[in-house]
Amino acid sequence: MMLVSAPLPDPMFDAAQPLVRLECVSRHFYGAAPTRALDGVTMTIERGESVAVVGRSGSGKSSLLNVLGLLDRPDSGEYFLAGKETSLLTDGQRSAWRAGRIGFVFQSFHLMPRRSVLDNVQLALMYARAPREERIARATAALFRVGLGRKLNAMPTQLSGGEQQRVSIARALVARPSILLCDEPTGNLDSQTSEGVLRLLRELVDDGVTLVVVTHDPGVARFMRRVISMRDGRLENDPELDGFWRTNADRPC
Amino acid sequence: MLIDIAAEAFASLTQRPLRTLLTMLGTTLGIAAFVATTGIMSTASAQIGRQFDRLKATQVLLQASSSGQDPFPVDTDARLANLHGVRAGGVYTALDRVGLSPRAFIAFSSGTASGGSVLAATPGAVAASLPRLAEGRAYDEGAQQRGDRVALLGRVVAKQLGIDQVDNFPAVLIGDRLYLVIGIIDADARLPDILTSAVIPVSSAMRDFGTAPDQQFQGLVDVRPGSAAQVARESVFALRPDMPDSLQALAPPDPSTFRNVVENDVASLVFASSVVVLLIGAVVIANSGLIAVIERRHEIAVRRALGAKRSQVAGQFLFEAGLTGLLGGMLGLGGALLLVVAVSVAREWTATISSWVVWAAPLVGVTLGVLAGVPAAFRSARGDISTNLRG
Repeated sequence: MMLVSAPLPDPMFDAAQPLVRLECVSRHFYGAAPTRALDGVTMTIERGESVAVVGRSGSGKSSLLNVLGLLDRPDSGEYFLAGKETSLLTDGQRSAWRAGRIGFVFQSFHLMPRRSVLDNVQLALMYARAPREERIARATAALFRVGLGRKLNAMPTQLSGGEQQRVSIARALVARPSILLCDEPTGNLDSQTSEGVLRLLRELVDDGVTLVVVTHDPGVARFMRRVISMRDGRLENDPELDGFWRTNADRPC
Repeated sequence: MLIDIAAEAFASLTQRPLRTLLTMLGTTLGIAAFVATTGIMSTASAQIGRQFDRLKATQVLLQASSSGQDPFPVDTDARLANLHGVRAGGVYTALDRVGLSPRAFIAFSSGTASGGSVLAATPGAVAASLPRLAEGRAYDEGAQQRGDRVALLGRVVAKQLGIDQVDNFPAVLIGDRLYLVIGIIDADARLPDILTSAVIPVSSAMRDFGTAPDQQFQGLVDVRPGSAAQVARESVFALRPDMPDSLQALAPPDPSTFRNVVENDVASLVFASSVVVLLIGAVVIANSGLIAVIERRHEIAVRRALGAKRSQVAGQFLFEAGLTGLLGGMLGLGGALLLVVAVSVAREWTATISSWVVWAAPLVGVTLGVLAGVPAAFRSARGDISTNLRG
């Protein structure tokens, strides 16, 4: 099982550096109601950590996830992914990193409804340029890993919400990324199903996957070893949650 | 990678078959309109060509420039035959004064024909009129020179006279002269009037009946294909080197030029309208592509999140549009071919379709599809991933 989900070593990545390092990262949205989605965020995430990012809606946690996932560029500050500064990467390079190094799990699963479960999962490897036979083999293994080995050819619409989220986890996992980013992974699931999904995520952490989960559900946060809370685009410790506090949020930018 | 993107595009299209079909419809109709009209047109014109062209393109008519004159020399047949490209040629005239009230003089039957006429024609003119003889033979140059009293009877006249064979030497009275019937003409391509006439050598006719002051002689020449214009130019000099202006040679207007003009008019009209339909088809593809980008923004965002480059997403949309155009073109081509064949079968024509049309149809479809897919491809590459993952 280690083989399926453990991140692949990447010679390009500097192992001595923390996996994620943000330096005074800001992201502002201008418009009718200008918001500071990220306002001078400084933090590090080490390999193998499981991090919950909590906060009310609008606190900037999704913006943080987008920046971490190279889906969005910060307006200012620096984001080092495994020691590499990301602001100068081209769209093609960012795409390649997303394909090989970053896995996403979304609240609403975002599976392609007319494609089989297996197709959905192997799609992630297509953009990582794996040959077709390898894609099928690895996607099958990933689906077995999340407990859906019997539903390879099912359509997503035939699956329960929990199963769909497992498919999406398999898809995020299949390229064996360095970091798995989950945006409210249990937001659309009932509590019992959520429990199963969270247990799966924690198993992945045990396999060596680095996990960042954005959630407003304190129940989810309890499954993670470290909890970061956000408010108005800044990091802050949340006294209600019992977690580590290892960011240097107080440092002025 | 390209194959993977193509496969993704194909999967996207086949998963929405109805929409794909409707999107294709514009291209299908445009291509079908174009192929069907050009196909039916070329089929029809090939048919026309087969029926009329050879006859018209191989015929030259000669006549006197001013009426009341007979500019044709006695050896017209020989002079024409010497011209390059001439198969046969000669002079003929209708003997209106004589009228055909022939009586048949044969052993076992006799009768009187009415409503016929007598035609005096040199052997060359008879040959140039392309007769088909049911019985006997046509008279030759010897008969013309000697002024033999021999006659060919048209099928209609022969039937009226009860003459159906020439083995028993039937004879007819023309005027008050007895002419021996040596042949019965069953059909005649250039002078269909012959079927209701008796044809006799010009020399015999002039000796027996003389010519009226306003006797109209006409020359008829059968030429090889492509020689008509040249023979027309040369024949007046060959017949009357002393006064070529006394003769007029009429080559039919080059039928292929004429037909091309007509065809080009029709073709450009059809072409224009199919282009309009094709453009509408392209607009349909472009429009549904843009709508698809909006509708599939989640899918696009997911693909991007999974690591698809802008170019790969745009490429997939281009592929989808191109494939739609290609399928539309092929479908249109197939339908149009069926239509052309159906029309041809109904009319008992031979279906004729230029091969370039068959090649061009799918090519035009692909090109149009890809071009129409450009806006969608651009937009698909532009969208903001994080926004579209949420919305």
